[in-house]
Amino acid sequence: MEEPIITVRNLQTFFHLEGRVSKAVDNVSFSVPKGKVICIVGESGCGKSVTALSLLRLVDFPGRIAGGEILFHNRDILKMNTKEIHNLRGDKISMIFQEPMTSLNPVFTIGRQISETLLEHTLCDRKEAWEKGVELIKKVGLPRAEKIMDSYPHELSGGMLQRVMIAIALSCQPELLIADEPTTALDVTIQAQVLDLLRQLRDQSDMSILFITHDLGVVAEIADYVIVMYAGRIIEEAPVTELFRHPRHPYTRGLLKSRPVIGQRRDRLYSIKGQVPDLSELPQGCYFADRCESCMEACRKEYPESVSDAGGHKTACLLYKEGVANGSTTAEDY
Amino acid sequence: MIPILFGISLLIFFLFALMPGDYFSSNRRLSPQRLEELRALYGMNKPLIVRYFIWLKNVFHGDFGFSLQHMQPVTTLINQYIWNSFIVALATLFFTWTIALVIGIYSATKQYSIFDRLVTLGVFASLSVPSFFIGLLLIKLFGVDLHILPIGGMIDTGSTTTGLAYVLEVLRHMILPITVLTFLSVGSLTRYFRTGMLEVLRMDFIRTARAKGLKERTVIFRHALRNAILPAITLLAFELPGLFSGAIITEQIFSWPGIGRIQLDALSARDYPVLMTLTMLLAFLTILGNFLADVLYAAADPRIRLTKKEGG
Repeated sequence: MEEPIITVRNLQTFFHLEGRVSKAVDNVSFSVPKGKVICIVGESGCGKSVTALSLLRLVDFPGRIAGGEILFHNRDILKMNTKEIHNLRGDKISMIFQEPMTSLNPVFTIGRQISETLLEHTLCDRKEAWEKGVELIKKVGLPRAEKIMDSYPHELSGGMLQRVMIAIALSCQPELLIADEPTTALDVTIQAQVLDLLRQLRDQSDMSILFITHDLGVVAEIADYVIVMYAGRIIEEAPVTELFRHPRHPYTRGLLKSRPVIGQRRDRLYSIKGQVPDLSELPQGCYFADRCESCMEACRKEYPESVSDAGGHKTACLLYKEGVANGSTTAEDY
Repeated sequence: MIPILFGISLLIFFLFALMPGDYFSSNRRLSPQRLEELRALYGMNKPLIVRYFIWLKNVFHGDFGFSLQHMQPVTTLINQYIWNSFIVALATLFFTWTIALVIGIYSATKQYSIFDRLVTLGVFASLSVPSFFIGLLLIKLFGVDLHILPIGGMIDTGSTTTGLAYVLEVLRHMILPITVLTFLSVGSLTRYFRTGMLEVLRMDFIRTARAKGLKERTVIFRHALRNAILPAITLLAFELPGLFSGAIITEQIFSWPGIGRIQLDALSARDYPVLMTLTMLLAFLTILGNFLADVLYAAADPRIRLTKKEGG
């Protein structure tokens, strides 16, 4: 892999609520190489959004980053002072969110909200910022840019607003774009358009994208490399084709199995039984043990370490630990 | 607006007219014949519905009746006292809103801090202490013990000051009533602003603003504050009648010659024209305030524009 622009090591983000500690993100390590799209997948509450927010230190109270380091060009974001982190946000690293309808301030015009970022991070006056804003709106494929600059958020549709959010995020040509479920709130055709746009923008510049989603269809569309999270931990990671062809962790296999496949008629989609465990009362062993179809005795004793094979496919599951009866069930049949 | 005012006039007139007794009936020295004569003199013996239209016609001519208790027209009487209440209420409004806004917003941004907890404590003190208690306490403290502020009234007894000296004298007398009234109303408003701000701070667009790299100050004062004070416009508009209604208890304690006391006196003397006029005035101001709130809100919130813009 190329030189990564951001490296996360042993990130821990905990939520302290009523004396209990919820380990929303625990010991998460990964890196984002230049110009690549990394996807983090997992079901709701697995810590993927919190991971994304932690990168910019945007986790709200009562959440707190308890440990680890986030190296951006070898500088630890977690050790930056307020001024440095403000200079980083929106300039070098920017972020778009799940709900475009509520992510823009309802009382300011689109134009004002776009130029605001430019005025904050670049040396330009209001007029230049405004003109740059018009360009950006055009760049994200919205017609009648001048009119949109004068509009208020409630006058635009969800898809348009997400494009505006992307325009704001791109305004200072960031090195990394964090996209936290940017298509979840949009309907399917708009989803495809927004994904196309992101891919296009990635190709035009050298921007890396950290893409958070629970939609495996979206992952297949856009990702270069996939990270699967479960209950706050990374359980499997691999390049996208490898992961879809040879999923290893029983959880990943379950996720892939629960997708509808075009052309196959099934009465009922497969679903992984049970629920994500309470993050404040995690078991001693593997967090997935209770729901796992191939759970073994040893799984309940210790949390499995992540094991990497020669191709860089990492799995945190005892089935793949050397010496333990190897899971002969590769996933050819999925 | 106009039909509502008519409805109100009906309601007010009949409520007061149908109440048993009038200004004369509590005077036991009047013989029945004399009583009848007086009632006929002031038109109280006519049928109710006729009396209503007479009253309404007079109101249209700016004549709101005659106060038998004070022996002068109601408008003159009210005009004489209402401004005394108004200056106190206006100053109170100003201080209440300034203090509540600053403290409420500051404590919202520092939720769960020591300051925030102290504010919450203060809010409950403000909400639960009765006005006569805090009023008397302040009189005892500043008026009686420390001798730095007057204990009541609007000017010193037998004072003949004019010009600036007069203004200063009145101001000195205003300090305690204003303090009491501000203290009493600042609590709920602080709570209101704190809650509003907390709500806004949890919104997605605040996170967006932070993710854009804006300074925390910009996030709070530009993005959050505007949204947090929008609903307060309605509240502010409803303060309009409050400016003219007087504060009955506080005015009594500080013997402030305000409209609150006039109302109370009029009530015990059954001087109904005074009460009817005041109620009518407050009803009108409430409706006006409501109307102003709508206009102001539309001006301040782009989501509520009277002229429909074409969507993108």
